[in-house]
Amino acid sequence: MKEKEFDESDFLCSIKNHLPVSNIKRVSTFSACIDAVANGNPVLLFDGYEEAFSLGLVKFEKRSIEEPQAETSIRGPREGFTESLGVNTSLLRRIIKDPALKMKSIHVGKYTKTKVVISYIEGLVDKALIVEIENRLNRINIDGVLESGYIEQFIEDQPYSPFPQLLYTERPDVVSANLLEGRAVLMIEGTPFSLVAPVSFFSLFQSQEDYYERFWVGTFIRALRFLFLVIALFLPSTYVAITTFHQEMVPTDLLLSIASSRETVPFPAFVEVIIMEVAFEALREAGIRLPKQVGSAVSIVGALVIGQAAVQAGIVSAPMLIVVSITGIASFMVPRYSVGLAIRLLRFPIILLGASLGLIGVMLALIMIIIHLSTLRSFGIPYLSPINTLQKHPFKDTIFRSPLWKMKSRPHFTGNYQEKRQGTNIKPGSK
Amino acid sequence: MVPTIIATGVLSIPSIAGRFARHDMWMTPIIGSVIGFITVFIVWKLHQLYPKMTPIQYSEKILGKAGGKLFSFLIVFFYIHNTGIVIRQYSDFITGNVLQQTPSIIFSITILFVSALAVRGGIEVIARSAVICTTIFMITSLALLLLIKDLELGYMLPLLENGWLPVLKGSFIHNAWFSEFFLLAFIFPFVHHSGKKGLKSGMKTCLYVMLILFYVHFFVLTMLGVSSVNQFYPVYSIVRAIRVFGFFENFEVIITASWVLGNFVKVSVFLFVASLGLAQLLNLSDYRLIVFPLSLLLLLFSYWDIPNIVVLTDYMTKIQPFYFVSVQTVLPLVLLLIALARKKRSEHV
Repeated sequence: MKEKEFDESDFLCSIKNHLPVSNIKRVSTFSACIDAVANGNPVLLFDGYEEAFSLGLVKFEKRSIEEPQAETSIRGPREGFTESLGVNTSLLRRIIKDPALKMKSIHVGKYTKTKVVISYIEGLVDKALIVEIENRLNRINIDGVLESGYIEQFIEDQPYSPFPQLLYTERPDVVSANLLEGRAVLMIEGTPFSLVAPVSFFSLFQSQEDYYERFWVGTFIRALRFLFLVIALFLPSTYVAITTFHQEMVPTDLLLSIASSRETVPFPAFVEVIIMEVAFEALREAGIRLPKQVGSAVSIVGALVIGQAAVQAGIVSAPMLIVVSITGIASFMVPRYSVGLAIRLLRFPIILLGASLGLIGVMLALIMIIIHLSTLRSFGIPYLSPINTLQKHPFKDTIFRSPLWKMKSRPHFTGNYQEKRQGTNIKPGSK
Repeated sequence: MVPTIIATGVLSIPSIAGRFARHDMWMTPIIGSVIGFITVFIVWKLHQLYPKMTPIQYSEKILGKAGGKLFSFLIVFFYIHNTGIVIRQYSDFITGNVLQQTPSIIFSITILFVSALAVRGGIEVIARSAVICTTIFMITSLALLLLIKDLELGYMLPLLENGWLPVLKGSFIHNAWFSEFFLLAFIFPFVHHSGKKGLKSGMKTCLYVMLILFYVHFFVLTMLGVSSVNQFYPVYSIVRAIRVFGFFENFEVIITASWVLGNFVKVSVFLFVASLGLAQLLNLSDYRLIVFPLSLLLLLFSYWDIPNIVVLTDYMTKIQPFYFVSVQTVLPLVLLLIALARKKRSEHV
């Protein structure tokens, strides 16, 4: 009689209750055991029993939370995501405490089995978006995922476009802001970078600090960014076009000084600008990859070589040097590095068009970029929304940064959405 | 829609209209726009009768199979021919004024290529990129305001020197441009809210076009006086005169460059209509297939027809107003009348 009472499950249950481990999973197959061990969990086997316990005692070494390196800010939280997914989700939970914050996890990669977490706020996000993201993630069938870039390149809408269709960030506050606007965020194990979807062209030009500082400042800085976007894309090509085809546009004094400085230069403006741009790109690339100690040496030498020395040697003209360096600065103005890369790439074909057809060529390039951006979509959202999709208040949070108490509605993507995000009458001083 | 008409209109109408109306040429767009309003109304009415259909499709319903095909052929051929002319106008303008040494065919090819790209993207892409292009185009048009200090209002006098007739003649030129609102017929089927709103926005566009043309005419007249008649591109000449702070001069290249944007929109809308029309006429499933071949054909058209700019201006003065209005306003009007009559009859039965 006594033996019958001593039930198998009872025995396992009592063991489970006596073990001082919170995360215990029952595993019943051989492969599940192997998976558990491969994940770093010890497995407790019992003689004569068909089930075993996988004890959640895994402890990997991880980096502590540090200030994000790629996205620094003056004002704003100083903590960034780390490579550990558990730390990242807890950072997020600490900011958004509502149970509506959901996290769904999917494993991607045949060998790495990387955990990818889709997080969103239920009620704010369009459900179809989550389904679409899941479908696209499930389609991925590769050996391993080492960085968010792997995921990004498999789930974007237009793989041939130079423009990024997902935003990556390592700041919990950026992620939270996007979640609160009704977007979905993919957090990937092993990398501090999370992916935000969907994005529009204009959201790539916003930095979180725009919202932390006064709105005048935010608006001014955004205007500056768009100005420098135009400069970064079109300044070198326009310079080439004007000096080659439309000299009459340049005021006489300026024309004379340009002409005199170009006198000793043997190359046409087009060759000159290509030499300088390529040298500049090379310098930048070399500066990033090298160890810090060598990097500074490269930048000093580079500054000398493509600086004054090149002008004195008569290889390039001084105005060209100014153009190239302004363009260089301008391409750093974009708060998202990936957009900066797109701009750097596009610059070269535009220079070519500008050198062959003058300003008309530059305009044709502009038209082509506009066409391309109009065709692009990020998870079904037109890339240029809300500027040219005939929505209400298209400029409120794109070119301008209106005061926080005026941003009453969430951005609208597709499908149903909750418009209101603020109470009424919250302007300071109103009754 | 707005830039579609203004793009080429701005370039040369003032000179032609001025030839007839002289001092009173600023009035011509106002009178000319009447045709625009009428066309928009006809198109809208037809659209109400046959929603979600392009003229190619409903003409068969109205005129029967053979009649409809004939009508569609006329319309499609008209747009093919017309697009050729638009392209020719554009590339002649650039080779004539900005880049004299480059053969004009290069500009024709490039503008056709980018337009074809947009057309292949579909009506949505055309519309979205048009919004941006138009904005830039309009901003540069504001540059004319810099000329305010040079204006001579005296050139506008005397009013109605030779009575109304010259004004009417001048405004007839505008009719050609305003009748282009027939293009809306091809666009309405793709618009979401095309009920009363469609009519309203069509009318609004017509009004804007009128205002902008008026604005341009006003500046041309008060800057150049009657001599604007002697120039092919009077607006270009007045833009040349802009001078700010003694530093920014010779704006014309920038203005020309922004006209490229306007022309892009125009060519892509025309190309869209032409290829959509042709595809429906030939019962093809997808118009995207024929965009590039059709562009090639358009390129040929733009050189076959017109030997040089003098002929082009002559064509615009003497033929275009009648040709355009008859195809784009009178024909649809006939179509509408027949459709209404048919409807009446079927109601009786």
